[in-house]
Amino acid sequence: MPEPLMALYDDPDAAANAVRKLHARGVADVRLTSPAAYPVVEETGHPLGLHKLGWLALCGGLLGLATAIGLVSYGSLAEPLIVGGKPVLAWPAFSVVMFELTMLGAGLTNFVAVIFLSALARRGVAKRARLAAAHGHIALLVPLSQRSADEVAQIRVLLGDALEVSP
Amino acid sequence: MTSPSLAATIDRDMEASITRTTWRFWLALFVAAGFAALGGWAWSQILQVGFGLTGLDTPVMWGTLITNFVFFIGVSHAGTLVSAILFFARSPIRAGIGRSAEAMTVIAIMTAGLFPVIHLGRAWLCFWLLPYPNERQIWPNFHSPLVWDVFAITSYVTISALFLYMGLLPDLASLGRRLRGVRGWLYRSLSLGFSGTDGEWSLYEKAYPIFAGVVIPLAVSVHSVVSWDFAMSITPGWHSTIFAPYFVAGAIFSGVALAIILLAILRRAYNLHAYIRESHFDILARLMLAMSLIMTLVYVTEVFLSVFHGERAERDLYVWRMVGSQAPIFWSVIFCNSIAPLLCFSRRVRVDLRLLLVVAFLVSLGMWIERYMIVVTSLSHGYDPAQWGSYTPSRYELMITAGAFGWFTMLFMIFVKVFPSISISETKQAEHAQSSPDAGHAQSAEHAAIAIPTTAGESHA
Repeated sequence: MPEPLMALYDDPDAAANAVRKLHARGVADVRLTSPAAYPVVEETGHPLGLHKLGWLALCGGLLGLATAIGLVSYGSLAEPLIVGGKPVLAWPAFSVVMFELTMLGAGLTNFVAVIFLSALARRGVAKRARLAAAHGHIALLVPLSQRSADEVAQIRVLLGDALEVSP
Repeated sequence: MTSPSLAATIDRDMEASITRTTWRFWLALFVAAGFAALGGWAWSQILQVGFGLTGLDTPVMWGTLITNFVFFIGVSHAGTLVSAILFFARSPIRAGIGRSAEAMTVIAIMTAGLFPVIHLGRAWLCFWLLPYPNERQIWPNFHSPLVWDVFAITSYVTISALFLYMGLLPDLASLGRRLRGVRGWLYRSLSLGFSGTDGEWSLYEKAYPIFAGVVIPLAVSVHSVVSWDFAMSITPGWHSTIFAPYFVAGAIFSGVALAIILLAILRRAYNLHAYIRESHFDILARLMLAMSLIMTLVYVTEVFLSVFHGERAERDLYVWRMVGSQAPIFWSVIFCNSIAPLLCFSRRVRVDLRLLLVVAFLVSLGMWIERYMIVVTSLSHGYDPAQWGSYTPSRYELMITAGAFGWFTMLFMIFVKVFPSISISETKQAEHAQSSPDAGHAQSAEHAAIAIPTTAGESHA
C-alpha cells in the first residue's frame, strides 16, 4: 500500500481551506494531525461514534451509584447500630455517599473511555504525521491507494498552500 | 491566521519554563522543603510522644490541625471549579490560568488530606476509615459527616487529578516527541500515546465538557460536606443551615486569592507576562471582590440572626466573638475578608500587581483566621459555661502549620518545573481564535489578545 500524501501547514485556516477543497472534489477520506484543537479538526469528520461517550459516562455513574447503594446497605446491615435515632438504613444520610460515588464512577469511566477510544482513533495515522503535530504543524493525510495518477496530481494542486507536500 | 513564529514562541517559552532552572528556584525549593521537613519532624514528635504535645484539651478538641484541613480544602475549591466554569464560558483567559489553578487544587487536597490523618493521633490506623470488611465486621458509620468527607474528598481528588491530567495529555505528547533523554521518555510515557489526530481531538473535545460537568457539582459538594462536619452537630456557632453556601463561597474566595498569589509569582519567575496578563488578574480580582461581598453578607446574616433570634448560647457566642477576648480574631477576619478586598473596586488596584498581592495575601490570611475562629471559638464557648475553655496552639501545631505551607509550595514548585504551567495547546487555540477572522469564536479583544513577543520589541496583539 503506498504511503499517504502528507501536506504540512502552519496556518490552521489554510489547512481548513484545503480540507474544504478536497471535500468539494469528493476526497472524503482525509485525516489530519494537529498540535491544538483548531476548528479544522472538526472539518475532517469524526471517525468514531462520539455520542457513545456521554452514554458511557452515564453508565459509569450508574455503576458508581449501584456500588454506593450496595456498600452503605451491606455495611449498615452488617453492624446494625442505631445512630442518633436514625434507622439503620437512613437514605437521606446515605445520599451523600451515593452522590459522590456516582460522580466518581462517571468521571473515571469518561477518562478510561477516552483513553481506550483514542487508541482506536489514532490507528492508521502515519508516524511522520504525529511527529509533525508534535513540532507544531498541521499534517493533512490523503490516502493514495486506489487513486489514479491524474487524481493525485489534482489533489496536489488542491493542497497548494501547504508548506511541504510529501511524498 | 496563526503566525508560525508565534506558535514556535509558545512552544519555546513553555519548554524553557521546564528545562531552564535558576539558582533562585533551587533556593526557594530548599526553603519550602525545609519548612515541610520541620512540619514532618513536629508530626514525628507527636507520633512518638502522643497527642499531649498539641494544645488540644477539653472542650476544644479540634484546633489548628482541623483549621488547616478546612483552609486547604477551601483553597482546593477554586482551582478546578474556576477552570471548569471558564471552560464552559469559553473564556480565553482559561489558557493562561487554568493549568496552574487545577494543579493548585490537586496539591491543596493532597495537603489537606494529611490533616485528618495527623489529627487521628494514631495515624497508622488511618485505614480504619476506609470501608472494608475487617475481621470484626465493623464498618464505618455511613450516617456520619466525617465518613461522608472521606468519600467526598477521595472522589474530588481523583476527578480533579484526572481533569488536570487530561488537560496535560496534548502538551505531554508534544513535549515527549520534541525533548530527548529521561524527560522526553517520561512525557511520552505519560502522554498515553496521544498523537493529536483528528479523532483524538474530537474525543477530547467531547470528553472534556463531561469532565467539567462532573467536576463542578463535585467541587460544590465537597465543601458542603466539609461544612456539614460542623453544621450537623448542635454546637453553637456551627449548627446553621447557612454553612454549606457559606463554606462554598469562602472556599472560592480563599482559592482565588491564593491563585492570584501563585500566578503572580509564576509570571515573574518564568517571565510569562505575555501569557498571564494584567487582564487575567483584573478578572480574578473582580471575582475575589464579588466573593468578598458574598462573605460580608454571610457574616452580617450570621451575626444578625444569632443576636436576634433569641437562642441564648448562640447569642452569647457571637457577642463574645465580637467584644470578648476573641474580638481581635473576629475583627481581623472582618478587616481582611470584608474591608481590604473593597480596594478592588479600584481598577488601579486590580491591575497593579503589588497592591493586588497585598489584598490577596490579606484575604488568604483572613480566611485562615476565619477557619480558626469557626473551629476554635465555637468549641470554647458551648452551651454549658462550666465547660467553657480556651485553646492555644502548641509550637508543634504551629510547626506543622508552617510545614503544610512549605509542603504545598514545594509540590507546586515541583509541578511547574516538571510540567508546563500553561496549556500549550489551549494557548495556541486561543491565539488562533483571536486572530482568525473565520474562527467563529468572537472574543473580547481586551481579554483575549495574547501579546507574545516573538523577537525583542515585537509583539502580536
